[in-house]
Amino acid sequence: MHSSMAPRSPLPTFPAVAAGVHPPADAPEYRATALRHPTQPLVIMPQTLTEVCGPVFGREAVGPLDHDLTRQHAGAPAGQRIVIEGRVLDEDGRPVPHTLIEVWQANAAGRYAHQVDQWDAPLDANFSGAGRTLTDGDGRYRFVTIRPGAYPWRNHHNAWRPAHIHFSLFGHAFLTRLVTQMYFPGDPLLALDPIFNAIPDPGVRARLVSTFDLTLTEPAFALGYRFDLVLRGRVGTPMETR
Amino acid sequence: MAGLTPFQTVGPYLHLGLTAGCAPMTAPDLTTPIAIEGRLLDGAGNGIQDGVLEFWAAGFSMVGRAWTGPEGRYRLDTLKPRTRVDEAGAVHAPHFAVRVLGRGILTQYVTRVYFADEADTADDAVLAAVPAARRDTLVAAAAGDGRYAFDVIVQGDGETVFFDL
Repeated sequence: MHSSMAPRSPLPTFPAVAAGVHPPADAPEYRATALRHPTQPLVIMPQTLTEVCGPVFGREAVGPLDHDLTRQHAGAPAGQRIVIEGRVLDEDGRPVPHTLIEVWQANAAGRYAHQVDQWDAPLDANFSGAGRTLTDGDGRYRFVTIRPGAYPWRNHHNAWRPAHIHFSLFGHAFLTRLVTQMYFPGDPLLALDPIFNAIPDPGVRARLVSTFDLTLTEPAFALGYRFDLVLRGRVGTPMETR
Repeated sequence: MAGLTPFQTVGPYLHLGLTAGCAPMTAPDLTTPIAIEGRLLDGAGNGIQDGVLEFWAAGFSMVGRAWTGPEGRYRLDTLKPRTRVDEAGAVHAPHFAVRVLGRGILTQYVTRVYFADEADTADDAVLAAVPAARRDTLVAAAAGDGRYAFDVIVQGDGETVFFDL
């Protein structure tokens, strides 16, 4: 592994993030933010070499079955098998190749294989719920997994998280990092979820809802969902390839 | 133009997925092993036990991830970065960019850690732009044996400086 220090001049710059894209740090409906959001204004600083480069993950960062959460144990996990495919793009729509994606999720019953998760739903000995992959040269990725269940949480009375899969991406700079959650279309819990709805703009929120796609659906194997992700970078430059 | 994907919290089960970079960080031309340790604290002074700090400096092969544990404590084993002088002559004292993620954190909080025993820290171009009264929140104190103490306070008295980048 090596670093993309890229000491060439000038350094790449990343456009400012438009207001209203990311949820606010203080979202009263999501109670855990109350004591965990800064109250002082953010300090504006220039982008330096530190922020415009980042770690490079090679093929050795990912095992051959890491992208297939249904084949990490002796047997098949319970639940609806699905494939998730998409592209990782920058803000100009250009692919982000060879970047690490990490995912984690609950099992089909809505239980995480994590010691902190103690609600009364069954664990699945055939499902750990974690995966990773690298995007290919065109920014494409693919996971095979099962559809996670909804689960209760203690945020408010009768609170249930909509089915979701956590995504973590690095991109190629400190500033391109993204951690988010993918949701499923038509989930009635979305309208009730304080985490999803912390994003104020419904159009922006909708970027986190995957789409069912028959062309990704594999006959007699798995339903297909499409989920594209857009990382910071390169706004304003002419588009060369689409 | 493609619309940026918004952030969501990592939630309480982050340890399942955020496993890359949990090994000690390496850099080909750095030789001084150090450990950065401290607590991640909320607005009531309690430790945040379901968080992760991610450290990055140019030249390293890998991001350094440190999960927080009981009382919000973390420890990162790494190497000490060097001073860099950029093309414009500005001094960049040894530092890591630090990203804070966790349950109850809907986006990311971005800060830096400098080292109190580095002479160049006083001349750092970024630190100089931070209000003087809050600069100390970004400077780790030497604690002996290559250890540095660096608490991150996300809210309240002594709140750590977070950056808009």
